[in-house]
Amino acid sequence: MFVGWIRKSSLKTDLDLLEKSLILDKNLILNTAFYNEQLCFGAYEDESLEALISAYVFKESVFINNFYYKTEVSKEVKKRLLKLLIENINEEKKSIYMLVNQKEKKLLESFGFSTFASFRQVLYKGGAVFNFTNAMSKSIHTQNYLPIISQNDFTCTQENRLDYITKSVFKTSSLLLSSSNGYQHSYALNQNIIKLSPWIMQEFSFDEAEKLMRGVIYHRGLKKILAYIPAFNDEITNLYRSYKFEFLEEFELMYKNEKPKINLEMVYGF
Amino acid sequence: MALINDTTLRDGEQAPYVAFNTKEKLLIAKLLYECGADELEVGIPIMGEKEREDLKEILALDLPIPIMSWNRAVMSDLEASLECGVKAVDLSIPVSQILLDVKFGGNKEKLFKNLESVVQVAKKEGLFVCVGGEDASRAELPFLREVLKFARSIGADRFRYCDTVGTLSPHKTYENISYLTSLQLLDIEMHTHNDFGMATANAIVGVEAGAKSVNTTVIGLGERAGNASFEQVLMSLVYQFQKEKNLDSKKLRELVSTVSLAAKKTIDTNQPIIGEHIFAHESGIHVNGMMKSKNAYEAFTPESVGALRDFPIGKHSGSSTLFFHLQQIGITPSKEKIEKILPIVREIVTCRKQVLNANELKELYLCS
Repeated sequence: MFVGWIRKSSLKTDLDLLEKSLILDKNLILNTAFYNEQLCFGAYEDESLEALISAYVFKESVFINNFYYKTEVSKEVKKRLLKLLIENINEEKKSIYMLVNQKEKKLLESFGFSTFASFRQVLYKGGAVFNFTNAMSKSIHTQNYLPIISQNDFTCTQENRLDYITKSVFKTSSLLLSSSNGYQHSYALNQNIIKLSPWIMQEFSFDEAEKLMRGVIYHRGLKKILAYIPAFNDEITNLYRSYKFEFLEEFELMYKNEKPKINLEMVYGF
Repeated sequence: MALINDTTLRDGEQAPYVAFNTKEKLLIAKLLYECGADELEVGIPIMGEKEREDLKEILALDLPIPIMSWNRAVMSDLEASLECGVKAVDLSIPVSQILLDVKFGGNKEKLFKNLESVVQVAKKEGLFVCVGGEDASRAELPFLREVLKFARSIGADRFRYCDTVGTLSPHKTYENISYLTSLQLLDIEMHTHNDFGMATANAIVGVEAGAKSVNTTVIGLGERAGNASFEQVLMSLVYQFQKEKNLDSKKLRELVSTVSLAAKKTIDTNQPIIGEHIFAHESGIHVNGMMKSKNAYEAFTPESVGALRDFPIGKHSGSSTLFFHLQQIGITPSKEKIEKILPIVREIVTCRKQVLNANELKELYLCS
């Protein structure tokens, strides 16, 4: 198995093939590779892409934003990928963080990662909300949303992530809902699944968050809606429970070096 | 607070002698959203390809409010709706004995069986389902209870209580809707007709009795005498029930004139909310009061609905009106002279059946 830089020239085709066996955030991978290719690595069996990892460097931290592998990929290959990425990140102080499932936890720990917070994967498959008022609708369709993203995201992460969000995270399928107290971005992972990411609200903005929840379910509710949410925050988990999201796999936000300065009270969707 | 589910583009268009083209439908849908409609019911997909194309175009506007289609509770109707891509459907069933006999030969079991199969498919597709109870106002309440209970058990989300032939009085409406909402089975939606001129009143009374949504049509357009009017229900909910709305008077005027032109219906000058003369104060006592306080004889301001206040110089005008108009054109009138010309003004207006304009008053004053 060859492990090295991702092959940009064939990446789109490689991802199309890989998508047949995995649910991928394909556009995020492509965008990350386009804007940030020095931190995108792949594992290839002959010419076939079997696993990949990528990271995005911010001023104060590094976010490992993609880690995908086929089920048959060995632990050794995963380890080689992660090692290659961490060596290339080459940071001893900056916080490096990543959301992982329980199976990946040990691998991360072997590289010196610690748990920052537990998360849950949640999934909505309940159909559309219909009792959705005109006033509510108008209040969450803010035209001038960039300052709202910039301000709220910075308060939450202590990073200027605007460039990353607008260039790498935004897709043609993006739906952005916002109020003065936060923003919610959702996009299609594939024909059936919508992912809520990121969704950032100021603390104690429960009513506004509920409006955005109703908004996304109205707009996207005929498809499944997937999100990763902090498991310890009752306000957030109760909101998802009240809209009949199923609570699935446990995840953990893990970090290496400095502890991330993310205010998880503000994270409604990672 | 109750939602407005506007059905101008479905039940409104069912008014006799009315047909909207695609361009009109798109403009009306957009204006309805801008004016504060919470949900729109926009067509009957089973009607044919053109209706379905129109519905798809409305959906393509991507208005951020729910869009619904109307269907009989039969599979062919639902399939036509699914083809359009709507997220919500009204599935209509007859619930009065008269219509049950006409449409199902009185066979209630068949009705329930049909409803079950269609609702189940709709729910499987993730649709919001409103069960439309046609002629509910003439149905027996115990049977309606049975329908609501059954509809809830198969996954329906709302029940539309239709006063299909407009026979309800407000008091009866309150009694019936209070009973149905007290069952706590499904949210109730009011669908009222205006055969006795009570459509808006019955819709609002339904809200007072616990209904969660109201069907409306702009200018009350609809079958026979029409439906509860959008503009009346909207203003009532905002002013009488403090519904949260950002009223845009300019858009409301545009909506009303668009529907009026598209439907070829003229608007009476005294039509509530939108009539040209509803802020015209002629009688002396009222004008005198309005001069002292603008709240004296108006339920809401003309600005809130894009209208103008007027004090016509007519048969019932008093000296306050004449003073007002003469002062407006730069004359400081004497009380004696006003007293003198007042009977003349009344005589002129009575004879010619037309009010005086300010210039005519000026000439009359100066020449007297």
